[in-house]
Amino acid sequence: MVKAMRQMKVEEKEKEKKPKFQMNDHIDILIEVLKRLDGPSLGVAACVCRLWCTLTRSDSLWEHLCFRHVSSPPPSSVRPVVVALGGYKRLYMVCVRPVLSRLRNSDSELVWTRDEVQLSLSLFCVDYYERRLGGGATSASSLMFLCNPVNV
Amino acid sequence: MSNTSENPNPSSSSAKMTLKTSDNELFEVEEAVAMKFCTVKQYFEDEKDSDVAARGSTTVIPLPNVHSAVLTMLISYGKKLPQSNAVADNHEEEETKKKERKKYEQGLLKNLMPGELLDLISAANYLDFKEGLEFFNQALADHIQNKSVEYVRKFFGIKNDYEPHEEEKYREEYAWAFEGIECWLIGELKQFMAKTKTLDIAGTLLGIKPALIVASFSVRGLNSLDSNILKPEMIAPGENILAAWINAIGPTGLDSNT
Repeated sequence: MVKAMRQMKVEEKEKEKKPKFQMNDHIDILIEVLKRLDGPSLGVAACVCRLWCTLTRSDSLWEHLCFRHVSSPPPSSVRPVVVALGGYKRLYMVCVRPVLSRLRNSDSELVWTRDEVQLSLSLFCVDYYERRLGGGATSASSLMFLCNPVNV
Repeated sequence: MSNTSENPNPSSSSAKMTLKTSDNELFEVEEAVAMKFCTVKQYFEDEKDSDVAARGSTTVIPLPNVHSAVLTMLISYGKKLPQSNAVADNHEEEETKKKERKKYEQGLLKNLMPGELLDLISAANYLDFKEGLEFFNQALADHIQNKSVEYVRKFFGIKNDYEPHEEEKYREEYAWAFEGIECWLIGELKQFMAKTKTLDIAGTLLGIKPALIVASFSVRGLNSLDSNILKPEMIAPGENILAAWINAIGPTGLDSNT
């Protein structure tokens, strides 16, 4: 039993000697992998190391995340508007994520269509204007209904 | 027998190419499959421009960065993909092929070690195998989905280059992301705690005969008033010790070692 363990340790050491594929040297592949993660995992990725943090700061990743499951991508005129209102990461955090989690509770199969996209964008506009006009509060008070369960 | 791609009957093409891996193994691959590796395709097209006819159809394409085990998997995945020059199938056949491919993909991923996934991605990237890269990137993303920061770092061998206060700041910023993340660290800690033993101080034991004698050459601890007073906090035997060694015989080659 001890001999087998010794052999395993030697093999492991040999494996470590082989040149490993360093993910951080292949940023294009890393971006492709990050594109395929969901929101929370992207947040975890930001805490891994500085390089990953810089990559996750790029708004294009979050844009991809927001519209990943939509069959037809939104028109290109949407992008400058979203960027002006606070960026795709904020859109995801404030609108897309709460909507997604509410949908997940009710249905087993997640359906993300144009309607949900338009809802998210509208809520995003509300968020921006409330912050602007509401004296710089960090989150819009009207959007609180997304976070708290409501009995209608 | 030529290696040209203008074959009148593509589905029954027997045109093969030979690929040589880093460990000098030769693989005979159908041209249709090999052409999915864009690096190979480029090499082949470059060779076509030069004097191939004189050399005959035995061009061996070297792949110094790809190991045979990895190439085997990539080739078998490439075979399952819809062939670009195949005759168009009817809808039913297409559906069956799709199902077959999905089943194959699931089987492939089940038997794959996570470390092998990185090798496959590295090779697919070198070969510029777009479909393979897409598939394995997705598999990798699925693997690190919902895993903790520590797991991801360990998996990729990434060193944490954050200052502690920086890391704390980012973890706070992304606190919402950590709800429900599989906590690898807690699992590892639990395993570690189960393996460790603790030393308890039993106190002073009286009445044990004979009393333990410290060897004359051993240090007796520091007692500034009287050097004969023995007060080391912990002592261990130092003579006639049977210690562990790795090889079959001891370090001195003698029957006994201390």
